[in-house]
Amino acid sequence: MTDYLVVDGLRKAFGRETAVDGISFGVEKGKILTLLGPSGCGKTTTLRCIAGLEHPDAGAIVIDGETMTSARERLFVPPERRSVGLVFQSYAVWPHMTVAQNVSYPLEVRKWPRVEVAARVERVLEMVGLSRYRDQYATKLSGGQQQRVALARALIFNPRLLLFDEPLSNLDAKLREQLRMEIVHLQREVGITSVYVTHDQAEAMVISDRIIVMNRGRIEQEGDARTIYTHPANRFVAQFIGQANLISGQVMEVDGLDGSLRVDVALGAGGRAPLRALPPGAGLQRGMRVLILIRPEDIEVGPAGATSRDNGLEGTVVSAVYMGQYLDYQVDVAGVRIRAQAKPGAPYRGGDRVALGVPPAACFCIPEESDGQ
Amino acid sequence: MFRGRAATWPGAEPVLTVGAGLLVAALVLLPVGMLLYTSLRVEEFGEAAYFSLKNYTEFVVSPRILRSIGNTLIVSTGATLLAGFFGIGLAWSHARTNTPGRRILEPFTLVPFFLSPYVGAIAWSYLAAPRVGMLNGWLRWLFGLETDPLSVYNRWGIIWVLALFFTPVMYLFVIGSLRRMDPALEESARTSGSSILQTTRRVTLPLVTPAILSGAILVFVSSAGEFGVPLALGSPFKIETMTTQIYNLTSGSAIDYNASAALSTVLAALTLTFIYIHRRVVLPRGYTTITGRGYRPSLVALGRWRYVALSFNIAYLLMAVILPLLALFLVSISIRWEGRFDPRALTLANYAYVFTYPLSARAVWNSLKLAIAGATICMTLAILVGYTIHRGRGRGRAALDVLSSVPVGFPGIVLAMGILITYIRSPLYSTLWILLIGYITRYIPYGQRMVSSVLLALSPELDQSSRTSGASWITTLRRITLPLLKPGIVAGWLLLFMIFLREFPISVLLYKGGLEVLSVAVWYFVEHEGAVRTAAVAMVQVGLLLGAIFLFRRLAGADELAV
Ligand SMILES: Nc1ncnc2c1ncn2[C@@H]1O[C@H](COP(=O)(O)OP(=O)(O)OP(=O)(O)O)[C@@H](O)[C@H]1O
Ligand SMILES: [Mg+2]
Repeated sequence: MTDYLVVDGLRKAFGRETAVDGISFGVEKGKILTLLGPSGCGKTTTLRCIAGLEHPDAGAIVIDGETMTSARERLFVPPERRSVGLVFQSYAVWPHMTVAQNVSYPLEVRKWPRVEVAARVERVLEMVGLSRYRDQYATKLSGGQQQRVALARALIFNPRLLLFDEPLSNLDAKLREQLRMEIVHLQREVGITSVYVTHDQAEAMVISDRIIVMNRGRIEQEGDARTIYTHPANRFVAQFIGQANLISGQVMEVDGLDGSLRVDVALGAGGRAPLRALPPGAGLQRGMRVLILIRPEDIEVGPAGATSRDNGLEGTVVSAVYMGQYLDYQVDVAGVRIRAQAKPGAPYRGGDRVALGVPPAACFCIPEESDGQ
Repeated sequence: MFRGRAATWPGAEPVLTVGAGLLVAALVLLPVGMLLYTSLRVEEFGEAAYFSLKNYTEFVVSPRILRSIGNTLIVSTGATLLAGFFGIGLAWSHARTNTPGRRILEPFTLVPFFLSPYVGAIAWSYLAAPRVGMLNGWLRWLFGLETDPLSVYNRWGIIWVLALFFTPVMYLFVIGSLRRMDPALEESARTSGSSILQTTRRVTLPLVTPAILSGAILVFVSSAGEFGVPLALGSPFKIETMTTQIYNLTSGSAIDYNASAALSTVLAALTLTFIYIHRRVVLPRGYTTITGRGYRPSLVALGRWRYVALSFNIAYLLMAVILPLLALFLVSISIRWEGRFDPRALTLANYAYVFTYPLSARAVWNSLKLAIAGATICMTLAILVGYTIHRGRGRGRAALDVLSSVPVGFPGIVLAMGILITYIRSPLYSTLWILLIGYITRYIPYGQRMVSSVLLALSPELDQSSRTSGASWITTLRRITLPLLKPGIVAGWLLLFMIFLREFPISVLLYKGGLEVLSVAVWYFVEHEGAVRTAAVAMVQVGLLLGAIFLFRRLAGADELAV
């Protein structure tokens, strides 16, 4: 099936700087896709190209089978004829209008009859919980309320597409979580196809059906939250999403029976240690150089000497920080620093010798060749 | 719902913005180009014109012209120093000391900014001319002097009047900088152990220095380009400056447009150099010291000195506003003027004369017409140009930015010279249109800057969310951009209205019989009608300007003044 929104080979440069470097993706009808990436990676530019606020240098944008932008055909539909709602990080509510005037504007410019406008404004304001404020000047409201005004204004004309550009990043943590849930509910309820931009991975995981991780104007990986967390495509994704221990090594043996790998990891001062990794990354062969990803929460910390388990590593605790739900350890394993998060029950201190247990299923191999750098 | 909507006219944005851009480019480039071209031509009697640098290598360096260049440099430097003294002192006393009544004094300090320096010079001649100056009379009587102690008809007089009228320029720069300064900068000097006066000297003053330099450059450039003041106080006594010489070469017996164009080019080169230094060297050094909201810098408690500061304030207001306007008013209601106000010989006949004498009656209407039309057209262009510069996507935005600010660097008389040469053979000449073109060309930068400063403070996302809401470019302009720009538009319009109401150098160079405006009428009356009627026509202009200032404060607020 074809996607409702198709972005194909999009490229946009500002002067000599390439903000978006040939990216392609699609969003299915009714789904919400997140563009996730560090500051300056081109998320906003991508979004603005979809909305028709930027003219891309190359590529095409198709919404519901209608071509909106095509650099090759020199086709460009202006933003007002795309039916795309956009929520800005800065809210961009108009200071010279009341809440109701802000929200009714899209219907007015579409020449809706007055009665219908009033009724619909009422409904939408109710949806975002702002009925009480309808006659106040919009910029007199709090940040969270202003963002609701912006959301209502973007929703009211039943756009084909809803775009969010870091809508919550100007709000404080509590409010951010609350509004995040509200956005998810609204999006599901209205069933509107959406693209959501953020640099906050937790937000991306809560909100999206699919996530695209971007870096330097390119797509590093696309997938659902779980895949991206457990099977990152490269070093960049592994490090950007969650916390990661990455140790380089070489595949020594591929087990013919269960497909598991034996990997020699390089430690400091020429030392090596064997690790068993499960499940296997596809197509890994003997002799290949790999990065082993181990998430800190998957590591068990136990007393030294008890290395009966699989994949035991011994090291010295460098620091242990109490974080409430867990203890955050930095452990030195023969010159390699490994981070582990263990139950606060095991109270080791700096200088203690400990054994780290890493279940093979928690070791994920990333081929070095596909390293994003 | 949306696919059925009629498409908006796709050409609205490009046609309007490109059109305005090209119009501004033509308005500015044509006269500047013609000025240069003419300055390089030599037309000697009975010979075909030819290209030559003669106008520069022979005429400009002739002793007579060199003397006028020297005078321009002397009076501009003097005016800058004196205006610096007044402006810095006033700004500091208002923003950083406990001078009594500073809140009330502040708006009055700005009044000279809106009045005509030319009329100011005439008013000062009623105060301090030999024989007929009121102050001279009082001083003679007070000290039993035989001769008059004061005279404004020399370079000191020119410096004095220029300084009084350009003090607000300096004042606005300095007080703006003081107000924007983060109080934490001064507070951390205090907590580091320096006294409040040490802090003023070691922290405040260095931080304000770029603003002082900006103000000084602007005062210098304005003084060098000022035409009315040296015309009133210097020319009759053979003290010529560059501007009066440029004018002399276009009228009377010794007309030489080529020589005048060459001298104009030299003057423009001088002022543009200063503006360039300002933009390239001074502005980038400016400290951006943005403050949080609602702060109060600690004030210097002046103790008994605060009455000295108050006297300083009052002295400035007396010299710059009260005495000149009082003199003008008293002369205008006198039957005749011989240096002493005679309360038994009062009349309104001078005003009646002004409104019935065809030339002056015409001048009032012409000025009003030009001020209203000029301000409206200028602001319309400024909106389109400002929008193109800050919101457009097309090429040439940087060039348009430069083009639409460059006329600031041209003294009025210089630009008028270029416009005269450009349009003299066109049907526009000897209609009000030529004056309108002159006003708009010279003052488009003021409008543009008013619009741009508001646009810069507004997020472009406010426009963009209107587009994604489904509104076309024109609808967005009408419903979102213009309403948000309104404060800037109102302030810009009123400012231009006032400037056009008092405009003198462009008008006097471009007018023809029937096209007189207020300042031209004042000048004509000076030459032909005597003191009392001159004062009356000047008072009409002052009255209109004061009314506009009042409106300005009501509608635009004091913050918008900082042009
Ligand atoms: N209008 C512009 N002019 C020049 N450069 C721009 C412009 N807009 C974006 N860029 C540049 O393009 C690159 C990508 O910018 P973009 O705003 O798309 O990043 P982003 O992923 O949204 O970052 P952030 O998380 O900080 O918002 C940046 O390097 C930025 O400096
Ligand atoms: Mg962004």
